[in-house]
Amino acid sequence: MGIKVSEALVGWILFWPVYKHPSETTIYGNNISNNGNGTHGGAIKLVGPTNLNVTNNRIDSNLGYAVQIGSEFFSSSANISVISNTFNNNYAGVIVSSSKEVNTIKDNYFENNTHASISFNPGILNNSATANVITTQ
Amino acid sequence: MYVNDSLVDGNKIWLNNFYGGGVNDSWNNNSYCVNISGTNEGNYHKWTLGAAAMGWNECGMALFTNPAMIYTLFDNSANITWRKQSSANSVMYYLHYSNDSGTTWNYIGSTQDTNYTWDTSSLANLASYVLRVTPYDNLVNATINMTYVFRIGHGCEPPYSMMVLHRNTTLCSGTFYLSLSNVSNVITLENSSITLTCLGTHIIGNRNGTGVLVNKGYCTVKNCIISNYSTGIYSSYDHTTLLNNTVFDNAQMGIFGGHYFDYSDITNNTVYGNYWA
Repeated sequence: MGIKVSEALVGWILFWPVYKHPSETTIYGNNISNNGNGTHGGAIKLVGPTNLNVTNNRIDSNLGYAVQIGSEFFSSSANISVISNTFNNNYAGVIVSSSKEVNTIKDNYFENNTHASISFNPGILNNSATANVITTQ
Repeated sequence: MYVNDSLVDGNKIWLNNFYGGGVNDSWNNNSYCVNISGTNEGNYHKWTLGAAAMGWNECGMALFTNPAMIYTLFDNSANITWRKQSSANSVMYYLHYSNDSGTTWNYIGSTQDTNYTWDTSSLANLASYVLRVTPYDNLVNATINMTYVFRIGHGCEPPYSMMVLHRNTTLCSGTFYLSLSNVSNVITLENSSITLTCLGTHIIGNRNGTGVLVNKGYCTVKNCIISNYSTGIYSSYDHTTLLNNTVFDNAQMGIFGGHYFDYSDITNNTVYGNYWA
């Protein structure tokens, strides 16, 4: 995994786990490539952060997802902006695994990402994907 | 000197010169460290006699007081200080250094004072140095004392395993193989609002532990090259800035931002070849 920003269990209230979500973080101008193992582990994994911007990064040839918002177990990521990045030759570009609404995928360039350029898992509501350039899939 | 009897008690023994034989006293009833006008005085022992030939509380030997901590860093000069060797005669102190774990000793200088300003500007940024001081009373050498391992860094500091930073720090350029056990970190930023600046410094691990742990808020890590740890850079603190680093070939994650990674920036880094999810 190249970069992971993740919430963590910080306590329990009435038997429900309480998670602290990092927020207001910027991932800008990085070159993130060749990460992962099989289709596990990609460039950027965002497990629960809010108000996070992924902007102007070059994300190439990662064996897992280039940007994964949420995961199989957490659903609290929200207000993630993935803007003006370049995604080439990854297993997948941007996948929204599980998330609250209002993520924005905008003005990105996708080329030759094997599985999909942008993928929304079942149950994802009210996200936006706009003005992206998708050359394959 | 033979005082080895339980009935020999309460005697004060100081400023003697033991050039042979030393002290035979296993009862600890007598004192070999006597306060004279606010200064503790012991005895002068020929260096070959060793600790076994000293009284139980002998305090006469010279003892370095600076550097006082392991991995003290000196730049272009080092102010070396030590506690004086007790002696009724005048004593000259001879200083040597070693940068090969004591295999060879290089002469620095001599003085009758208990401090010496050592010009270290011509010394390279090597990993570690040790100093020794040898008191000499014009007849025999007394007990030799050595410093902790310390470092020379000209405008920068060489990294080492388990390095804990409390202030802004610049690491020297070069490649440093710094292995870890699984739960530790090479470099830990332990005060808030400090910056770790690398001069292209490359730290290489053994796929265990964390290369750089940011353990307080408002910290910056920049221009570092980090590879072959479990995680390259780890921060669960706010206002972390990670700038212009290269993080690659780590077993799990290149960069990890945890639950308090609020208001943080990951900018212009190169992150590749990090293996697991």
